[in-house]
Amino acid sequence: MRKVALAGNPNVGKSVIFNALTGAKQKVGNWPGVTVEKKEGVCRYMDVEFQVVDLPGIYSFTASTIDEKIARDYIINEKPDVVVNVVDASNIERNLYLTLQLLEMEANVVICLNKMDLAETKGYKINVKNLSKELKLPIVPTIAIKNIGIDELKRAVYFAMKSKSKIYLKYNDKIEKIIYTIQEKIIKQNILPDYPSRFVAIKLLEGDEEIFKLTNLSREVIERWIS
Amino acid sequence: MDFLDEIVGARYELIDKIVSKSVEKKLKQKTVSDLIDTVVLDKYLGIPIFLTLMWAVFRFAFDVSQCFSDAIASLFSIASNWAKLNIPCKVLASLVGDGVFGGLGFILVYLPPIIFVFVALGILEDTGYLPRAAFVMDRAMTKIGLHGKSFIPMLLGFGCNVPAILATRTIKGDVDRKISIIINPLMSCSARLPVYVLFAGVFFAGYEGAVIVSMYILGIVLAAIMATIVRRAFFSEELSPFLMEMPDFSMPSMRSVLSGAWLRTQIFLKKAATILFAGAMVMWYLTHFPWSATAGGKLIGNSYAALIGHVVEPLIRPLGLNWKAGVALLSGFMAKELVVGTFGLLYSGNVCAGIRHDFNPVTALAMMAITLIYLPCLGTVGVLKSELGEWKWVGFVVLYELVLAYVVAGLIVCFGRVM
Amino acid sequence: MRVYEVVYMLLLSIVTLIFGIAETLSGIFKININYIPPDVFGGFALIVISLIFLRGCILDDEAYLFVGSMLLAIFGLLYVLVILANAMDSLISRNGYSFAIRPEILLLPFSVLGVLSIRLGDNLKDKTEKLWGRIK
Repeated sequence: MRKVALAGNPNVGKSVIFNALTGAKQKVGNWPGVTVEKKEGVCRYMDVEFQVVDLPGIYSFTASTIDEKIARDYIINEKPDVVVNVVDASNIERNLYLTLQLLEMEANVVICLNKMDLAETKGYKINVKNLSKELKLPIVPTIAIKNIGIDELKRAVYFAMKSKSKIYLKYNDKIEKIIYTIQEKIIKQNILPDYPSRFVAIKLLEGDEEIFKLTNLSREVIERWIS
Repeated sequence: MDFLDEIVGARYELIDKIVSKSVEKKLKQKTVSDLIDTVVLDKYLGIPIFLTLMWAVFRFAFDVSQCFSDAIASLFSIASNWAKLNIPCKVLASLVGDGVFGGLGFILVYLPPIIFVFVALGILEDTGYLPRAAFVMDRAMTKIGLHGKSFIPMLLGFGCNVPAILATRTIKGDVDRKISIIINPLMSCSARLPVYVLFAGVFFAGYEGAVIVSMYILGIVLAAIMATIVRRAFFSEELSPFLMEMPDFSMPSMRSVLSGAWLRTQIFLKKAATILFAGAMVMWYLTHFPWSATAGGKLIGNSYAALIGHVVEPLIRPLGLNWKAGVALLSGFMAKELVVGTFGLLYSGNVCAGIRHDFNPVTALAMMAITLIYLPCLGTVGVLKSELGEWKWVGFVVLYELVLAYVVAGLIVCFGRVM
Repeated sequence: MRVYEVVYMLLLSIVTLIFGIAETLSGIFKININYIPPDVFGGFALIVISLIFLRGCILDDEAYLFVGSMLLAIFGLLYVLVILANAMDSLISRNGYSFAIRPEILLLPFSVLGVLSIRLGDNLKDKTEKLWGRIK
């Protein structure tokens, strides 16, 4: 069965979305090796059924908490067909930080822009079309607690599944140049071929211990590559 | 050369660019949530407001639940007397009357305050106040080497240490998390409450609330001290920066608060039916056998319990506690609720008078402090193992708690003598 | 903020301060005063509430009126609950029934008015309705 993962910050209404997508068909268990709750369910749209996995709510993918590590490992290793990124529309800047990191991991992202009503009360006017164009991603506005936009979300997931595409959002030129240098080395030396090379490059630059361990590289090597 | 800052900066730079093209911000309106935030996050009043709210929680949990406790107590005492009079077989009569209604029933008397603590904590959690409390406490927490964020698991520890320790998962940084877990058993969970209520009611009538709250505060202070020591002794790492979520305030939904409390009650009742029941049976056996020597539980000094109690007595004698307290404390390792259950059995039927005879206000305080500190219960040990990973650390927690309990109780008794 | 709101807040601040100090002192020195329970922590809570109102007057911010009143109302309701619970208790144990009216209870109408004032204030009215409405 096709796999869909739900990712997002804590308190964005992720579990409400999960319940709306899967209805009563849910299974609660643990992530392997740890006692963090793992919720799975099945969602139906038209002729397909897909498995929905609720990832822990996190702010970034630095692997410094168990929750972050679980989410990161799932997306990298299990490679879900679609990642639904639930974004709190009333707090869009901070939420998009996770979105960018999902794109670094080459996830096939559909954005669910939740809490649209709260965003409005808070005085935000969001042009969804523009936002979608800028991010190059499908965006579905929802108000999950009122069950608004759930069908549209299912449809968006359905279409995203059919047309997988990798999207790169370029950062500023200076950092892109450095990322590119590292990426080239990684590809040439065939380091972690199963991982997206851009992701590995960025994590190496961030000084991510986990990736250093996996790649057997050290900070000194990275510095040498750059200079 | 570290590129972390630059990459983070580059991401936010891009987000700014994207958002500025698609999101229009009107002048930010003040919502009710903002209004509340200006006050509860006030530079000077934040911490006093937090303390005030905690006081409200305690008054709610103790005073309002009192009538339910009394109702349960009189119900069980009627049942106990009925069983002793109407069951022909003497041993069985004692088993049902003393063991079940007297021992287990004496624990269930304290179910109402336990539920009320959960209801009150549930309300605080549901309104969204807990992250604010954490924010307000951040400066004080940083001084003891912990995040403000670690404060939420500490508060949840007032309910039960097991979910509280699980709640430390949101803490960034291995070291910070480890320290938060290690100190959490010092947070006074609701299972220790019955002991406080019992002793404070007997020795500090009229000031129960203040005495009980001081136990909770003692727990927090000790946790602070331990956190500082542990960080200095074992970890050299600096505090890692963190991001805290501040969801809007909302009216607590009665349904989610009550369903949370109901869930907790079910867990408690399940525990009562299994481990507490078994514990009460074991303690009944120990206090009533050998049957002929104790004359059916009347001469408790000849029982197995006394035998065991006299073994540990030399240890706690300097603290002014006798073997009965020793037996009660031993039983508390299974589950802390059993401490009062055992007292119920040891002073069969007349707990208040018995306690007044064997303790004085100073030793009562010492007893309460020991109950607060001395050991994590079995459930907590289990979750300590799963979250800390190594038995080494679990052993450390058990050891420091035992030592700390002894030291604190000793200090209380010394101080009491001087006064 | 309007003048009458500041005056109201100042009055509440003074009243709660007096009662707070009275409760604390009678708690420490065990003095019996009618309607004033000996309650150190309860007195502390009242003093904190008084300081909230005072700070609201100084900063000229209605948020303090709202939150201070809310806290005061919470305590008022809490003590009403305690009285009800004591009444039930005396029914069960058949002991004599005694109850203590506390200043917080007497102030309940005034604290509730303070909470409501924020809803009545026109600049916030529709926004609060939107927010509370959304929560329900």
